[in-house]
Amino acid sequence: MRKVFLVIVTTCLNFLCFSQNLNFYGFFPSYSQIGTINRRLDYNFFASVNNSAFAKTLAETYYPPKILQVYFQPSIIYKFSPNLDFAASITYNYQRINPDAPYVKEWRPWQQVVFSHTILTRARLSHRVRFEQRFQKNTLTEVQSFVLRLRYQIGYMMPLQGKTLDTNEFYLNAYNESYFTLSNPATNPRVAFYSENWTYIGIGYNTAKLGRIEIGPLYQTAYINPQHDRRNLCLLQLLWVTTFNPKKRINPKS
Amino acid sequence: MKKALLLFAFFFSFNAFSQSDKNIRNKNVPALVKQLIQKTYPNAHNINYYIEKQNDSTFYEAVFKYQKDNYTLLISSTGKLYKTEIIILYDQLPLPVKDTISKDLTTRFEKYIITKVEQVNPHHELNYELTIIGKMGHKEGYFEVYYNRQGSFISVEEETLKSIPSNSGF
Repeated sequence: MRKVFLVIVTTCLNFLCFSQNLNFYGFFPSYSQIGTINRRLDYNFFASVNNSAFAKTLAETYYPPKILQVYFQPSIIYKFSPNLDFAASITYNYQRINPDAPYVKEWRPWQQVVFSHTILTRARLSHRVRFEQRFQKNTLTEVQSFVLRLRYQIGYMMPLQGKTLDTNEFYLNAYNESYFTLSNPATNPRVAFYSENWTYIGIGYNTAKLGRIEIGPLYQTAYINPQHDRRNLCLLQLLWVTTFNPKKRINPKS
Repeated sequence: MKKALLLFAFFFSFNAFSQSDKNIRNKNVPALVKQLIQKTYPNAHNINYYIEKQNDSTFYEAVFKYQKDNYTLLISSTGKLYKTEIIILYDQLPLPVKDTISKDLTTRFEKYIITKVEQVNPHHELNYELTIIGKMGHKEGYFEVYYNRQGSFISVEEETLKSIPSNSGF
């Protein structure tokens, strides 16, 4: 038993000694609007910013507090059935992996399918698969690259005060998303096939007039080199979701 | 810190009583409501209760499985039954009713699939609610079709599709 304990401790220490993980903490304010186009189509506009909010010195390198990502994502959603949606987008992303790295500009067309079903009477479990084509350009080196990526997200949403989420009620939202880099371009060699993972849990409130407001911690971890050192980002996400239905605006009495 | 917690608790409790369709613990359900269920559906277990407010009246909604069917009952605090909904299979409908409904659906829809059948108030003004995926004229999608006890058509409503809420917001 003592030997096993020693092996575990030694392994952990070994891991800690050799890993050069970068840990940052910051904020992730984001806004999402969903609107109806017609019976079958909805649109979504999502915008967010995230940052490393605190200055840090890691392995003798100084990392100042900086904005890490600015993200704009308009998308079109095709509602196939109450439990199945398809969506596509051309997203703009301006991102750096850490406060010391140069920014990368990116245009990202993607296509996705979402399937959802109820579990435990009132909770909803959703499965999302997204296929991305990433056209990236390093702002420092001007090097361009094209990367293909697949993402799988499993999400759980549950009203906390009844069977359905009504106005002025709280809800629980959680998800885990795995990122798989499919291509390995010479200009931007892939560091891992399973390259990134995001985990989030939040509490939301469905207001009567202002939509949903949600807050919770988001943990992002990504491999940053072939040695599998990781960049870990602990963010406090504040999400505001509104809906827009033009028909209701035109005929407020109907 | 204590003040913040008190404020949060006050805010939460205010909302818990101001809206409809709220969870309620088994021990807080009036005895008359429980008695009605035990009497009518003996051995019903795993009952989930919700409080529902309709026009200033308080009702208790009981959701449970009984003899392989899913039941939803709406009961007043005095133990009076207001509404019963039972999810059944299409084949469980009485044969003449099933034939009448099938004929009506064929005339009404170019093509259709029945995804859910609900029997509403079986002991009073019985209605059947059918959820259909179908094509009716130029409209193709999800519909709720209502029939009476004899299987005669009452009304049809098209269900508005909503996109699945994104967990990440994007």
